Amino acid sequence: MKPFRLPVMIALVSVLVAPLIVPGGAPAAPAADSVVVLQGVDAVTVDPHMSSSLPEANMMLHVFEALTMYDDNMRLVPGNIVESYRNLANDRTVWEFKLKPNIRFSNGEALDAAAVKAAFDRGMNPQIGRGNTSYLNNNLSIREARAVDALTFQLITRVPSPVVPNFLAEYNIGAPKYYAETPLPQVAVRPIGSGPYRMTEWRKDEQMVMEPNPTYTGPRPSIRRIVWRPVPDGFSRINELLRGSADVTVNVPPDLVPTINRVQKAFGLQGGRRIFIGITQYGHPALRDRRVRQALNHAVDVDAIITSVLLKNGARTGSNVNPPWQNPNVKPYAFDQRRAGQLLDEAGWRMGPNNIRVNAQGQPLRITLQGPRGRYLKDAEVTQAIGQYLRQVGIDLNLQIIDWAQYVPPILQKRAGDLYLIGSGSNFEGQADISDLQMNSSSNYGNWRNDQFESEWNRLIGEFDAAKRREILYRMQDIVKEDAPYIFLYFQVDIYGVSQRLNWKPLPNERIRLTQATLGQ
Amino acid sequence: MSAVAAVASTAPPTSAGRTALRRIARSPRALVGLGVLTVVLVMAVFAPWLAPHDPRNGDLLVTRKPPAWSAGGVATYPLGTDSLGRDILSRIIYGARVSIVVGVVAVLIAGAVGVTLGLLSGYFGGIVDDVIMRIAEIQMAFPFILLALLIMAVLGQGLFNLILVLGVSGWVPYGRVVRGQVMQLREKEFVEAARAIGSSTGRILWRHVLPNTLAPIIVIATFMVAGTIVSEAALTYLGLGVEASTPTWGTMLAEGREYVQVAWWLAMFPGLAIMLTVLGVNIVGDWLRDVFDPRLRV
Amino acid sequence: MTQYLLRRLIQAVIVVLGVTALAFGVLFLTGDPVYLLVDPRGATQEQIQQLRVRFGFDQPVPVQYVRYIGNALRGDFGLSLHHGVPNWDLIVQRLPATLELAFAGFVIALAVAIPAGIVAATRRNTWADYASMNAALLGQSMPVFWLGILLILVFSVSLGWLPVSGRGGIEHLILPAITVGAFTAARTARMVRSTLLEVLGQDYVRTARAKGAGERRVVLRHGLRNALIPVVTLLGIDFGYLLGGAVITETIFAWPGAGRLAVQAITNKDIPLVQSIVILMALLFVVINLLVDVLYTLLDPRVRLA
Repeated sequence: MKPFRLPVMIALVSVLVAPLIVPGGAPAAPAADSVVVLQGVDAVTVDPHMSSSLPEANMMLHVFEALTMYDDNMRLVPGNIVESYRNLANDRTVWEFKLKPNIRFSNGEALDAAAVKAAFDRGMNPQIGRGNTSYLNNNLSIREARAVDALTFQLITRVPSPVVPNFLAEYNIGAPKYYAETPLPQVAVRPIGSGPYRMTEWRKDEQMVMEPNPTYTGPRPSIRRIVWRPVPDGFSRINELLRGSADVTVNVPPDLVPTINRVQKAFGLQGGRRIFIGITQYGHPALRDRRVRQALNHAVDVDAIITSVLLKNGARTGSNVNPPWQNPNVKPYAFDQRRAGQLLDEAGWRMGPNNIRVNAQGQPLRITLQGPRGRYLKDAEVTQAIGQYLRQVGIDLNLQIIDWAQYVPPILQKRAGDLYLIGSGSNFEGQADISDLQMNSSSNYGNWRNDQFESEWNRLIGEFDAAKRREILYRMQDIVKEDAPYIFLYFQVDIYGVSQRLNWKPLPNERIRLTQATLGQ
Repeated sequence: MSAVAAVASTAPPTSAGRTALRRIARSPRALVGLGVLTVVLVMAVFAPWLAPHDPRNGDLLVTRKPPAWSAGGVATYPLGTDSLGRDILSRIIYGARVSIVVGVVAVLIAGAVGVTLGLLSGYFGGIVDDVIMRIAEIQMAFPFILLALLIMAVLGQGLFNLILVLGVSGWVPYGRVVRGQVMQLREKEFVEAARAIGSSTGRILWRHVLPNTLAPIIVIATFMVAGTIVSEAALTYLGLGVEASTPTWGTMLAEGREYVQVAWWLAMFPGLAIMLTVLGVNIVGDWLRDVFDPRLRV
Repeated sequence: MTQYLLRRLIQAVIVVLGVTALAFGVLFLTGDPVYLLVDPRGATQEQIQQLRVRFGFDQPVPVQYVRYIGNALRGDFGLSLHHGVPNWDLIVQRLPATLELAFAGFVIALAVAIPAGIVAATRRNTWADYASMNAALLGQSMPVFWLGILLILVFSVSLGWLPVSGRGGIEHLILPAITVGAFTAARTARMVRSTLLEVLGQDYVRTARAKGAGERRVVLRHGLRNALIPVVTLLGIDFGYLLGGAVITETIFAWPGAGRLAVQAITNKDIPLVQSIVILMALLFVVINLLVDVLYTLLDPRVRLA
């Protein structure tokens, strides 16, 4: 037996211990003048025209500006870089923007009409415009971006559309020379805009740091440093906040509101996101019968779900349109399981053995309900509660909770279960809200189609008069409620955890904007 | 899994059954382990009779009730209820079914694959052995959880896929140990004798070789059940295991973890259930190894 | 010895080829992998064909595999679907964090396990033996994610001693490293105890005792030295467990490593990225085991005969 080789062992141990002695990076405890924001995932890219996720949109909101913007009350106003804008009366396809003089990007480039044109040209380049930008391109249907003079910019659309300014609020404008000359992989990790902040550091999956942009001419932000940290596990996010090592965290479960309020603050805010059960027209044939769809709506006690499962964090609705365009006369379906039973009887689904309804041929009413887990407030629990109610009226329910990652593709490809829970975000413009049900819309997941609705839609998209638009939208909401393409549920309440020292109010459009926030004691 | 190395040199057991019976009476720890396992098995088999409530449908009027013994608890829900008013105890009882089914079926699959390959590898040796051992090394080189995640992501989540993944990827320890045993046995007199009287290879393996490798297989299988139960819970925790509407310990733990500060019972009981079951299995595994492996009885 | 190492090297190459073939094959379980890249409704046939050509899916599978290996040898693991940048870059950026976590877990595991194993073996059937072995049994039965949650609750939330998540100074490393190393610690402690007990019963140790060597010297010089050999053999395998455990631990502790990247990639259906991570992790495992083998031959000359 050969003696144990000590030097070998020492070498091994020092290799093992070395990484412990050399720590990587700085500690994450927030400094007095910096704010730490926790989101579930990190940005993949901060390219102004390639990003697609909400966390990225939140970050870019601080770095880039656009031609229009939403104020804290979700009113659309001209962007910080715009003096005024108008729709030409003689040609409704032309939108003209007067830019403010002497605006510069954080790298010193001038922000003029040519720079704005360059940004739109870049976004419309099919090799570049992706994600959210491709969605905006589809909705804007731009024919041309034109620099008329140094400070006059015109955007010309293919057809007249009153909602163009709403979609412009997210069309980011980046420094033209930088974005033209820098390779794509490099701009993906280093954004140059004209917004109140500029990015100073980004270690992927660790943190992104932003500091005030010295060339910014608008009101100076008070917070000296924003640190965006991706923390995937909800459990860890909450405990970072409770411990005081984070200032803002998203997707707080309602059950934790009292706990958070003991140490920090929790904000619940009715957002624009509508949560509903989509009723597919390609699934179970019974669902093509309007009476069955209405019966499903009567069967579910949505108020009880909001109270018990969401702890009141939801606003019941019978429409899929957000205020201010919501029709106040559209009332939600009443919880009335007797009425639901009658409607199902009329539709030919009579109560059979084992409390399961059957048709004349004796086939049971077997319906699949799918719900996601991990995307919306208590999504899996809400879906399961709805399932309980649907079983009570005699539906042989097959309930499936699917993790979010696996959940969406079948819905997009129209091969989901018969019923599926989903939420739809909003830009607080009624047309965008109701377009979810338009037959050619890519978000009409259930293939619902109603001719009356379509003729109203065709009227709506060319109508520029606000009062008339309101009338049309109200009529469309009546149609939608009566024909019940959804089981209508509620507007989601977004709950944020906020540290005691941060003075900040969240926005209803799920965006985190810290430009006016301040740090107190 | 830890059995692999320790069992590798196991000698063939003699009258293991009788020794086992004698030893169990002397080992209080083994009794505890067996006790835990018996409870879990009974829960799994008799779930519909034991569960006081429907594990899937709750009552929205009794949501988030704490366990019966703490303030605000209700006697009819001994371990409390979740945010849909479902009985935690009933869900734990039904959850035992999934854990046991996954654990046992996956281990049976892994055992069948591993024993077959191990027998072939050990009995024929040469190129067959080389190929099979290379496959084993390839398998071992994958970080298991990543491989399982990759396959689940491609195939889609669900009980069947999960069992398949856990089963197929767990064969190596059996293969290695059986191979080692067979190599020793191959030259033994009774095998030589069988060969001499013209028994077919299959018959020799089945009648003479396999019975003599049973002891280490049982020990490995026990430890593998523990590993598989944990893997199932881990994959479910990451959202790629059993469908979330099935009541399982992994789902319950995943759903309850954010509420630990306000409703500790949501995550605590499933967490304990997993831990105790795995502990029970490991204790029994330890004991079986001691019984079958005289080398370790110093 | 050179011959033995050469043989091990050839075996390792075969294993690596097998690993890549398997990980590569998984992609084709999905049917046509091009549909992982596009939504079939939103894209025209022309666009789909373009993508097919761009990612090389138009070639026969064996050709694709050979090309994949060829590219991989040059460090080119293709583009991530979700990130749009080379998979290699994404992984290499995050590998140091994973290795740091795995090594730290390893160090903690050994630092706890070896003394515990020695104590348990030398004070057999005392309370110290029972306590450490019961703790080890418990540690071996504790699911990684459950342990992580409990540690955060106790040390970060209740006591406030350590950060909840993230990477930074050494204080950030402690809880994740314990979480990831617990299983290995438990296993190693049990193994040290049983091998040490076995070694201490051997003739040469009895001889040493009979010759009047002090008990301490007997245990450390004769017992431990030999008892550690099987432990060293398993170091490589254990490292594989640590890499696997890192997948869950990194998610809980928001640790910016490759395991978490894998979980995210799966969430985004970025199968080529997951594939590359699996292959690189396996490669790492093979290399480390090769090193362990070399180390082992240095420690125990008998192996050279094997």
